[in-house]
Amino acid sequence: MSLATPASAAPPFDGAKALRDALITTLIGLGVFGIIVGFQTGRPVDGKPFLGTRPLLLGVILGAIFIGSLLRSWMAWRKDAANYVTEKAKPKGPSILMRIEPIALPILIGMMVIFPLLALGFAGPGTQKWLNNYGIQILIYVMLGWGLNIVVGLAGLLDLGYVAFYAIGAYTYALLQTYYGVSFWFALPAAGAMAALWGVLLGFPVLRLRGDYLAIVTLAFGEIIYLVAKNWKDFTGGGSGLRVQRIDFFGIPFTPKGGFAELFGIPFSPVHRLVFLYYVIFVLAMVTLVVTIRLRKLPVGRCARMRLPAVRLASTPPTPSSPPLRSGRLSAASPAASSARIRALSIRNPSSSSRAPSSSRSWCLAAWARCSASCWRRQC
Amino acid sequence: MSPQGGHARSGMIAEFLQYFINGLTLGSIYGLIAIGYTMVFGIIGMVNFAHGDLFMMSAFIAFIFFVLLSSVVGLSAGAIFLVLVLCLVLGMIFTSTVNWAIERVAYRPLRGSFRLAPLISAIGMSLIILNGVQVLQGADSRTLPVDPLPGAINLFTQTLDNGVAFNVELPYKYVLILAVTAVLLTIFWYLVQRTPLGRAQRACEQDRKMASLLGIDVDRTISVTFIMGASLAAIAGVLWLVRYNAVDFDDGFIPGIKAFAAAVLGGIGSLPGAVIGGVLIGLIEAFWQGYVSSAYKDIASFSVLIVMLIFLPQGILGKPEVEKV
Repeated sequence: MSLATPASAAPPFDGAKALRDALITTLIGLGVFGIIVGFQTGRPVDGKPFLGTRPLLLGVILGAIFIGSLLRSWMAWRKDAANYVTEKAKPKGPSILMRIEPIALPILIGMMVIFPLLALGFAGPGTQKWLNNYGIQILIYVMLGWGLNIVVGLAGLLDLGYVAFYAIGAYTYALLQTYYGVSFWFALPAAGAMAALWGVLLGFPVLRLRGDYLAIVTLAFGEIIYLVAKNWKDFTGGGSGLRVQRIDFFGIPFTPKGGFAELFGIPFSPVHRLVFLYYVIFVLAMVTLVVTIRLRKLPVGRCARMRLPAVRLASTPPTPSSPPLRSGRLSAASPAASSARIRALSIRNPSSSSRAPSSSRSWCLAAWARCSASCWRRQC
Repeated sequence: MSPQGGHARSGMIAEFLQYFINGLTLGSIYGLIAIGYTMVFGIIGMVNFAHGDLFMMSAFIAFIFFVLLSSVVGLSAGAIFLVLVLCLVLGMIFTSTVNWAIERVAYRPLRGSFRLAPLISAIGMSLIILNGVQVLQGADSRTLPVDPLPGAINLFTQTLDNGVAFNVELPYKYVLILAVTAVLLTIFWYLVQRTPLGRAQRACEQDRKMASLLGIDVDRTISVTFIMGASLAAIAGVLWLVRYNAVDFDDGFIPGIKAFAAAVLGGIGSLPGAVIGGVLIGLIEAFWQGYVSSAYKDIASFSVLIVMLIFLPQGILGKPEVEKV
């Protein structure tokens, strides 16, 4: 842009060109959105297919594109003009996130610790929703993200079937409970172990592959787990899933009569269970965090952080002790543990419908956001 | 083994042939989608995850055009043929625009970024298309007002043990699917192998930097590749609509992975390989569905994908890839 002319003054803003660009962009936008947004299909009305139009929505989108394009031209011109005045770019320090990390981390963790108390104190009738949706659910995602970070961030293996381990953990708990009556506290390590076992089993053949192929194979593996869970109706309950017992306080159930509340002499409230669950998942998440941090310092983690090129990985046969495989195993254990948690909620049974391909992908995506950020940071 | 039980023995050949025909046409559609994967992977080394959903979106675009145009020209046989041709052309134009825009917005800015960035961006695009179509066009499947190409050629009739006649049929729509696939494969193969555009594409495939030094507009070549992939996805979308008379917002993801499996099976980067892989995947699916279990048909294709990637990653027609360190 600015390397062409050594003129002393910035050129004036070319309004006509900006307008032309905006019009062209809007035209392309019409091509992109015109059909799929402009028309609305629906159920047939007396035998004739229904086809409505949405001119308003289309107009809003196109208007936004037009204005956005104009703004973009203008901002590009501003930036260009600014280059004429101040030649130097500002020196880049460490990003703001990295600078506030040492202070922010303890504050944030402290907030996580007192979060249930805040929810109890201020949320009123919405306490359960706050604890469940904004507390427990988020912590489960956090744990999933950290687990995925071990595979993708530390070992550099793009695992798209990661969420399958989550399913394996959930189903391990639900199936053990359904068929053998195993309680949550015994099923939790069992779920972790089972997912880790699958991680190892999958790791042997899969880790011979390089980048994208590895991604696809793990994606296919994830789909296979999903399809088996959905179709094996006699065993897994198919789409309607399995129902498991709610979590108990180390053997003491959270029931109105003769449970946790009576033991501690406090009035019964369904919130107790959620608060307890919150702290359980919080502790598990913290364990994951500590393990991840320690792992980086261990030889296995350092080895993984070097990110050996795929060719070198391929030329060393994968053994259970070779770094990528081990990290695969470790991270497989983490979602399993966190998924055993979600089952304990027992609000949602491990129906595979809650793990439709799209939702499994969005979970992965949420987790990726974090781990790709960490990849990126280490590369810089 | 067979779901037909007692009559299976006498009707075995007929049954086999019918599954074969079904698998062949399904596989042709997978093959067309697979070409889009294979071309994009060949040129920028990225798995374009949004391609499956683009295919689904193109089927929706074709559906909308079908309803729109057939309400103007009517539903007689000739009119429907005209409508289908128009759907094909318009679907290609609009889907190409979408894919061009996706490449421009979601992939090109990330080309210098770390390796996984465009892949993750592609997964994001895939989700945007999937959920966008779900929100905009509804979550239930959309069915065409009429079967666009009814009727079938009766290849032969076999009488089963219990006296029931089993017709081995080749529906006209299957003939259309096979013909369109064959013609398009020829055209695209010609484009890639014999034209300056194809030469530029192959040059970018080998070494993008060197190609740009030699005066090839790399950005433009990549855009054209996306447009070509999208046109094929659009045609696959129309054919899908013709084959099933219906489309659903969720129809893109699984065929997308299967098409990628097909591209890998045939050897990524190879156009005929993609179609061969597609047909093989289609046949495996059809036979698995017929002889083993229809609930687990997708598992069969995914298992093939995994086994293939592990034991023969270069595919049937692909060249073994040497990675530079």
